[in-house]
Amino acid sequence: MHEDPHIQLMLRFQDGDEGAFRELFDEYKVQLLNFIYRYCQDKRVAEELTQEVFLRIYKTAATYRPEAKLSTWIYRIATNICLNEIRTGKYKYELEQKPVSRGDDQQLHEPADQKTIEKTDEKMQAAEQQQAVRAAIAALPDKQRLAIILCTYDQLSYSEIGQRLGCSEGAVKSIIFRAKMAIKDILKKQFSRIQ
Amino acid sequence: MMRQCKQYRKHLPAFLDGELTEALSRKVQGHMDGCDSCRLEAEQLRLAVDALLTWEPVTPSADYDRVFWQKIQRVRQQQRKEQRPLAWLRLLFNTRYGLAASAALALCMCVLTVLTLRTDSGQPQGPVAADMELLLNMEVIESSEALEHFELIQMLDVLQQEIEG
Repeated sequence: MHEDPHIQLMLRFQDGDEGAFRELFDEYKVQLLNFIYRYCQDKRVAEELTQEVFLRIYKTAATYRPEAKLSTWIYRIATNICLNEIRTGKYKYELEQKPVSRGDDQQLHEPADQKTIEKTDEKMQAAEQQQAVRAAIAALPDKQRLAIILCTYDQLSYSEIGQRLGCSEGAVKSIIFRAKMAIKDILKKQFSRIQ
Repeated sequence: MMRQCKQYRKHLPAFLDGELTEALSRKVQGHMDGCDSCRLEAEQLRLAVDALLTWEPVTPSADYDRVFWQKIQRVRQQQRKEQRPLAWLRLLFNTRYGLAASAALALCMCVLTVLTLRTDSGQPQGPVAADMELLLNMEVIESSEALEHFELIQMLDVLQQEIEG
């Protein structure tokens, strides 16, 4: 008997319990969506790809063997989909280049007090920072991008990242070193331009 | 940058992620305590990671679940359609009735094959079959013998009548 509740759900689903699949879907949908969204940076594409991951889980559930954590298996599927489906051009995406404005709520012709201006400037700075972060991640090669997302947002250890990307812990250390150095350099340039 | 710094800098991201062994971690920390340049590099890396964390997560769209379960519904229908032609075969092989029917069919095939081989081989039939054939044809044989010697029997009948008369 497996202690991992997610593995138990998967085994129940293998036995024909559709409710167990529904529970798995609810458990993983948001984190998978964000993982894929940070990779492709297009919410519509990310939603389609996340659904594709769950459809694949649904269709290939019989092939799952409870040898590793269920999340490892699910993220392997998600990684393959990210790398293959996008590479083959089935899903086209472009980096969302949202223009940074002074906020929808502020009418430029209306007189604004000092506090409002400061608040708006903070908002703009935050938006520009987010834009810079997205551009820095988008500039990374595929594997570095996936590794940095798993490391930073999913807070996984190097060993777990290796399992999900299908490479050794040593390779992950090297990939993350290169990714973080690249991001640091890009952000340094971006922020010196912004400030 | 000193040569020593280069060696330590390759461990900086793993150091900040807490992924180094205790011994190596102590070495890196010891080096940074005495090296302003590496300390600044580590600080910039930490700031970069902090900046990454400002990227807000997204939430699924309002119709996300509905669209997904519609897709699942279509997959189920497709799976049912693919399974239908094979359903009777599965039933046949999965139930004891199916097994009994299969066994009976196999037995019939064996008997038929043996009989066909025996008929085709042209070998003499066994005693039981030969006797059966003789019995069925006895009447015909008897009548044909009677026909063959009909004239002789008639002459013998005439002679017997003359002697008696």
